[in-house]
Amino acid sequence: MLFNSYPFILVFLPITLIGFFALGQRNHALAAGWLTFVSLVFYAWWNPAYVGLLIGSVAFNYVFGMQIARANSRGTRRMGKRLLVFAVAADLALLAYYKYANFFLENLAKVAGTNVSLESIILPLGISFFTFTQIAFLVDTYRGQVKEYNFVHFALFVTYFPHLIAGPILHHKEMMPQFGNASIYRVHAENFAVGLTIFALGLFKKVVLADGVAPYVGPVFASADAGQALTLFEAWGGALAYTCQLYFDFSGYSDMAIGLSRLFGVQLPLNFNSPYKAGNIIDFWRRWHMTLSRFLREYLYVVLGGNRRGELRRYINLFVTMVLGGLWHGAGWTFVIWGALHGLYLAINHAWRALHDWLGRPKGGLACRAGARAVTLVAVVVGWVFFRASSVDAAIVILKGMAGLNGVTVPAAIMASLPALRPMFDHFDIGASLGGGAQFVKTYLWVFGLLSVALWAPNTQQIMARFRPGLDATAESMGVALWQPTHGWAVLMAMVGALGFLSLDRASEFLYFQF
Amino acid sequence: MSTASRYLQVGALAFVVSLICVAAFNAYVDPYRLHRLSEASERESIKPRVGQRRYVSKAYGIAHLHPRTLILGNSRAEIGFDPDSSYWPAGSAPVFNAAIPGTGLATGLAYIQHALAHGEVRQVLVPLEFLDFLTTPSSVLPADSWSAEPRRLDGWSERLRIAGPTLLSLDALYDSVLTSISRHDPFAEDLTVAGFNPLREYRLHAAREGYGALFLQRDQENARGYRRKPKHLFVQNTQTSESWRDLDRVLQLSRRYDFEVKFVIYPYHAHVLEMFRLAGLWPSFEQWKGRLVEVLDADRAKNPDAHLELWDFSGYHRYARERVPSLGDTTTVLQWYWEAGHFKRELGDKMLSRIFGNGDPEFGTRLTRQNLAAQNERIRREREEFAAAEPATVAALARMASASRN
Repeated sequence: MLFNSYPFILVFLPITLIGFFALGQRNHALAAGWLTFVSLVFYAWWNPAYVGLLIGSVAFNYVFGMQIARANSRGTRRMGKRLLVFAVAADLALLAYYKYANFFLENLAKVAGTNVSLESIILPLGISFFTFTQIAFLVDTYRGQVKEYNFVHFALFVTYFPHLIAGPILHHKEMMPQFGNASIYRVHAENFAVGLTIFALGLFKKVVLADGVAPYVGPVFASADAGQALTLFEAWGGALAYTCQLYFDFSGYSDMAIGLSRLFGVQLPLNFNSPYKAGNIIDFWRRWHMTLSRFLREYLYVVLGGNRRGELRRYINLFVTMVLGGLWHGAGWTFVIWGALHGLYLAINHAWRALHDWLGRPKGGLACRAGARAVTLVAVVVGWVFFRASSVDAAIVILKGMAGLNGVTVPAAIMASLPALRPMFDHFDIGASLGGGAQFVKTYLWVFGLLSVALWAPNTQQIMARFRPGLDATAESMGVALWQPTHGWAVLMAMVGALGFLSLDRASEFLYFQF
Repeated sequence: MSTASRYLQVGALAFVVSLICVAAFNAYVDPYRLHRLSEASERESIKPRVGQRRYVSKAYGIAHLHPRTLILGNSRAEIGFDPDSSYWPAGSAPVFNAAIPGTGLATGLAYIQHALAHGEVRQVLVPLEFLDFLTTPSSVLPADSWSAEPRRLDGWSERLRIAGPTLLSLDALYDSVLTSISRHDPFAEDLTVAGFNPLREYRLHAAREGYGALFLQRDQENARGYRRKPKHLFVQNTQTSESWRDLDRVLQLSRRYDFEVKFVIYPYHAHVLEMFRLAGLWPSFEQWKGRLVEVLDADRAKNPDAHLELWDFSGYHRYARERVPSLGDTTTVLQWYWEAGHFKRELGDKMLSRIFGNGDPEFGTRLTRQNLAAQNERIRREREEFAAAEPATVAALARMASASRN
């Protein structure tokens, strides 16, 4: 079930809310259990067969978590470590089987000439998310950082439907205390006001903005798949359209998750903070998929040694972390290359910072800062081309087009309507292409419109900052705070919500769905 | 009451009012010609977004107009045959153009059955698309569960299903706004109340880019597309395919419900016929015509009262050889074609006048077993004349076809 669907909004959500608060008046454990139950129903909507897998994973990790804690409390840390290694290996093996088995076998076949293949494996929904969530729990249990082992709260923490399919990746220490807080089991009008507003904004971003620009992405990448050369504007149009689509799609879904959770009085961590406004790649990764960055930093980068073993080792650790982060997104070489690119970007950024420090931290002016944002955005766009392309060859076709290696053309109809620019077209050897005029104009209207929002408009959390839209999101930390529960905002947000509701019948793809 | 509670109440009210306003606006503008609240204003209005809901709009149009005459086919027919033409004989009205771009006889059949469910159909113009009859021998025929009965496409469940997306959707709102602002745009797209597409927007494209550019684009698409087409007309070990089966179903309906059928082979432009030749499809093209004649003869033999005619408007005649202006020429306006794939309603009128009585006897042949060979021979001769008169054109098309193979 997707958040942006009639069954979810008109049936599932009202029933869930009514049941939760009705039971919450009598017994908090029952209400938490109800929420766990409906979360499993939510998951089963996609494929009932895999609910057993989810329940099994939760039970397995809970039992091992308890055993690790018990081993530590008895002073047998070595046993605790063995249990941790086994449990994490089992979790990763499950993920590896479902997500990477065929990728591994295909590449083995290319290298070693083997002919082993598996039947088509259906990737269980959200397996990447709930695997990482539980690995973090196990590691923190070993580290002695887990304070609570209530099974109902743990099961709810893992299966909690707002985050189950596509994150944010939650941390037990920020969630389980909330489930134990009596106040969430009572209806609070402010939570509903804030939650529904955030949900409406997220829905609008997803079904109006992301799905609106989506038709201008597919044809370009399909042409690249077919090996057709793309000219400069065609290639950039597709790449930028995808850059916008991915951001509004994923951040919109994250907003919906945050808004839904707020209806239950539970605050989720932020996942996006205007990433395309970043002035450098390090900053980008503090703004994009923030909970994944947090996880990779705490449970992979730090475990590898972080920056504690010298500069060279630091860059290697960064690179490896990002490559594995890329692989987490999908079983394909394009994701590996995407991760490697960002690993390289981060290493370059850190090296540049070191140089900058050594030079005495000269201050750059406005042009310098604008240039930095532009370079960062271009680097990110290049990465997204690999992320979206179905193969490395297709990605290279697009990048060649973006570099102008296939020439520059403008649709003949547009050229004909701009006779004053003819000398410029001739001077820069810009040719005319047949057809596609309307597509060209619409692509770039969407791209300029959405990039303007992404680069200059306040984001959802900044708009809502006065009312703590997420954990650690305050007016001070966000820098901006606009929304208040006034009549004017009520009408405006109602219209935003109505536009989102009116778009539910559109065909929609959710880009982070099969993770 | 708390501030937040008031916020929620005002928000809920505003949300519901917004949805009601959108639904009302969409119903009033009716961008897809579904509700047709006022016949007169509907006739005069330009509705550029009808094409977004073409299937359902034409189904509702048939339900509204109860046509006596139906025009089927694909985009060539939707653009080429005007239901309001004066060349329809007396008693034909109301005429409705139920052609849908990119579709074949199966869709046409559904509209005949739908029209029969809404009234009496007296005649059906059935343009036959040669390319639809090409199949791979290994194709599997789906199980035959079709029945020759009237069948509505606009039952209550369908109307309920359509109501949401056409009243309460952002796409419908966008289409309504576009419709409202396009009322006075002479180049806005349109599908008339009778289902005809006057291709208004092409006049602008032609004025800006020239007919040469439109032809070139279509020729290149055809070169790529025809090369990939299979060459066979039948499924292996049979004399049938899905298209032949659909043709037979049209004949079944005409027998059962006693309506005339005028089958028509399109007046493909010479560029299209050349592309058929270059793609190796010419033998199949002639074979296809022969099979059509056989099928209709067999049906007439079973049913002497059947009113069936097969008209062949293909060939390198003077209309199909209308010269294409060179690239860059934005002033020459062609009389008979938009581009090689689509003829204008003026040529469609010529076809109607030929079919129904007094048209140009040199244009179009009522195909029978007796004149089939002569017709094929005449077209081959015309082709030689065309090649001699326009060697540069023939060579350019050949280069295009060759380039599409690489």
